[in-house]
Amino acid sequence: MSNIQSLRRLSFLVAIMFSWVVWAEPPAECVDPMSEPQYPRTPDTEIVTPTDDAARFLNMATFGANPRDINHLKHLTYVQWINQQMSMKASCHLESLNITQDNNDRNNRIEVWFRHAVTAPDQLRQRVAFALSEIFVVSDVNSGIPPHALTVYNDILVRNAFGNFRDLLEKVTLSPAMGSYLSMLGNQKPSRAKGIRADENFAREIMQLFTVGLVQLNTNGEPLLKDGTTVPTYNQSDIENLARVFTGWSWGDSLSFFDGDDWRISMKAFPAFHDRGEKVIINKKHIAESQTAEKELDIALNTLFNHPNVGPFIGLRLIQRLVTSNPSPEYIARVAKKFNDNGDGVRGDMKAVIKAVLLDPEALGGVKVNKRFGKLREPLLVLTHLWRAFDASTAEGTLPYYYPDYTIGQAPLSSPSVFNFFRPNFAPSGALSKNGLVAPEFQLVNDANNTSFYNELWGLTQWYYKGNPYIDRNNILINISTLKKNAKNTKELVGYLDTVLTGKQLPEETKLIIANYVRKIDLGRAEDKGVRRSLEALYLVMSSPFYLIQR
Amino acid sequence: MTRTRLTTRRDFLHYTLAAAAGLSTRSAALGFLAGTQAAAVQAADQDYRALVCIFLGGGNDGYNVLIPTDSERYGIYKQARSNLALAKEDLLDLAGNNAGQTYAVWDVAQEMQQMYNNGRLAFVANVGTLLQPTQKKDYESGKNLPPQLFSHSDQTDQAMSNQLDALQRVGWGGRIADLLSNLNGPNALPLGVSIAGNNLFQIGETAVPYYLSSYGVERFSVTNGGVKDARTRAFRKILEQASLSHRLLEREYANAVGKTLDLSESLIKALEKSNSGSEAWPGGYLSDQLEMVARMISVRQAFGMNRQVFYVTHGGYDTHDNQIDSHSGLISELSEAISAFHNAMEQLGVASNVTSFTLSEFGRTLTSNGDGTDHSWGNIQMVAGGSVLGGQVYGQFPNQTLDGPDDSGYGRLIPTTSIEQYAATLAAWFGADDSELQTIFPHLDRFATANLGFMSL
Repeated sequence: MSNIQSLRRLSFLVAIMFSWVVWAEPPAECVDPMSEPQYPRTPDTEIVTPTDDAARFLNMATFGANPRDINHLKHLTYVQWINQQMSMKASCHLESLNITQDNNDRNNRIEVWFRHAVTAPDQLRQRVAFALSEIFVVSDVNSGIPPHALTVYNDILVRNAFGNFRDLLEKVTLSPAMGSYLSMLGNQKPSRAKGIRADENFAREIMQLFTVGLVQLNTNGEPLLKDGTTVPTYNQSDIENLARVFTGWSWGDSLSFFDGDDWRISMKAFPAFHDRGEKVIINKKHIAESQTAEKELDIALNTLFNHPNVGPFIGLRLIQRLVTSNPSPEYIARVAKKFNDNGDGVRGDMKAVIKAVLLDPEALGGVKVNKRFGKLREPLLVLTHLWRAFDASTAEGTLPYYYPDYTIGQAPLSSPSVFNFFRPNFAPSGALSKNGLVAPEFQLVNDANNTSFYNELWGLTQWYYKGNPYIDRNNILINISTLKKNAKNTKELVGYLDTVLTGKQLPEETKLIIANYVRKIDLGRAEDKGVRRSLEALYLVMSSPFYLIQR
Repeated sequence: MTRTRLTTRRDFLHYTLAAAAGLSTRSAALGFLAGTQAAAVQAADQDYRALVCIFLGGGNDGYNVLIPTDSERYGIYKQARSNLALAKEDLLDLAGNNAGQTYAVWDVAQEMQQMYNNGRLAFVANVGTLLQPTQKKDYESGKNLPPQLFSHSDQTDQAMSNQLDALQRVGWGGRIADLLSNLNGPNALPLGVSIAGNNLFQIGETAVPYYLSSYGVERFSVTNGGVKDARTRAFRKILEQASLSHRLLEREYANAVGKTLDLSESLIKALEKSNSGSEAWPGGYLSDQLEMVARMISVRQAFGMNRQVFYVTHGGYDTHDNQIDSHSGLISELSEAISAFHNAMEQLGVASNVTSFTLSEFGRTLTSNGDGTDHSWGNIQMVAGGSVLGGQVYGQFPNQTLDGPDDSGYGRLIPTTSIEQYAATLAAWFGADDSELQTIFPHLDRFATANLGFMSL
């Protein structure tokens, strides 16, 4: 029995012994958290996708290319790979969190997140869910939302990543985590006697950040201009009216509007607290009086969902999170059209949208198709890539890494505000903004973060490897056995790193500097043979701007 | 500047301001004090000035920090704010009475009360983003309004930048740095220093701030072997390649890391000798940042700094929910931290050389959404330090009557003072001349005055 299995058995017993641990049968669409990850069998067929292309593609579609997945994808086309990924059961985080000893400990939430990012077989689903968590942002910063509630929320994104956008929007809207984060939970109808009016928070942000954005867009994502100026999508009155639509919702487990605490189930409507007056929302959509909270929510979400902005708005964001910071308008338009109609007359089919994002000629062709192609890798994605590419693990089978916010400036579901860690239109000053380019991830680049990120990467690559006699095996350790085998010929060593980490994007002269430098390091003997060369080459590749910018 | 001289000046100021607070016109106080303060600054052994921007992220509810207490205006306040109105017993009175108009602060802001009464803190009323003087009829007709009012991201950008239509987005702190960095020595750090990460405020056309955390500056592990070490050289050589690349993303990333690498060694050395000026820091997120600002100020001479703009943030002000609880905690923390910071400045001998000011994307609705407030517009800002002509409320305190002349709806008050006027007053004290002010603040000449008078000259 493997360590992770014994851990799971033990946790299961603990879960049964302590009633405060939530324990339920996993939902049918989730894999059994007690079982080992089931990776798909690689077919014994001829190679159809070149190694470098496979690595490059996996860097967009997963938490980072690794040898196993590269080898698997080589025998498939991209479409086959995506279809296979989309047919897999979901690895749900809550199920894993619930078999840790405390499902309300932030450390466990973060550990479970890393474990899924690094080891879950349903990589595409996990990766898209992470992208969605940076669009439909909920965070534990300044919010008091407990860890298990964030995991429940994360699973909404995991489970609905391949569903329809309309369903996703509704599940997000009614989740108590979002309800709490943007204060729709407990939002009451206006009352002159109480001197209160409806809370505008969710009404504003669902439009500004989750669906339509501030100005009307063409299908290609460029703002629609009237007399040379942009046209607002909605006005303050639309927000005030939509705020009244979103009144009357509170905890799903409660009989009273004012209490309840079950983060696992959707909010429910309390008719007495819902504003039944008539309303006019975005696009002059009229909502007649005397309707239920549920009916009005349905009308409002349909109105937003059917707004022509949603395709280009969500399309751009998914492209930026997965592929490139500055897609061409044509690329955005192609994705938006798939959002508008998947080919079978269905709007909002996320499978079709994700395929359009990842299979677009611009995504696959990179700089050869669009000179502006590329994006900075997010700090979290650098860590997950390191651990995936070098099969990191602990003796326990968990991936305990607790404070990424302090070490690399970013932790999952922990952004400083609903505006995410970075805004889609962020451009650092200097050449990028002068050339009209955005680079959202650069919003995390500054002197303080640079040093801590580079030093964390140094520590993780130079000390935390299997075979280091000075390091506790309960730490996450990378496996450098393949690197060590290549260490004698340092050009091959660097070539291997280049393939797995970038799909051969490193400039020749950069590789030469690294190969020449590590050649001067003594190869070492016995157990130590090749270790220093491997570790130093690894760091120099991963710390290089030519790796950190993903092309 | 010696400690004795400072103490004397402070006592003197305290005395005169207590008297000044009773004066019926601000100009009388201003004229009188400007002379004495100019003398004090001249007596300093250096020409050092620093601005510290305290950004209150989320939109601070300034109208529950400064509250009118004369019976007519308090009645209006109470009516407008319904279940968020603070009871009189929860308020601390501020000294002074201008034609029967009196003010108080929330009792969680005890230090602010003391600083105000000691003349070290002023309030500026009803400040907000404006493109030109704006009346209610202009709002109703949508005439020349700042774009995307009430949106966090847009109003944050506009509070920090007055030149959003420029090709490159620049902040007013960054424009100040563009124009005044020449006042610093040849080995100077960037004029801007951020303790709170990236922000538009400090970005200029060429100026970029130095960013450090509250914990200080770390050494790059990879360069531990020193500059001549082969590893250091390989690492630097790759960065150099990237910085010469025709690929902009790689180039800009390499430049950012190269800058960090170049500055970190000298900062680490300098900070070893730093002094935060106090052992009485209250601790917490904001206090820790201000403590680092104090440390940086204490080592300013090592870099020949004569002018510095610092940026710190305090988040959590987006109080849609549970406002009384969360806002009271925030204001209490803010009040303690500002007070501790300026006490430290006195200990470091730069009390009148350093001015802190608040900025926030917008104020909040006077009306309640149940137990919180929504995004609004005009707001109260706070300015503190030895060169502030404190103990006064500047600008025009608005009429808080719901649906009244200053209300755009639900108590979203239309600003009567532009952020550009507020900022220009600070920039003028910092040393920007009239033509520089016009460059930094392109809409300034549309407003009646470019200087609100809350800073000594």
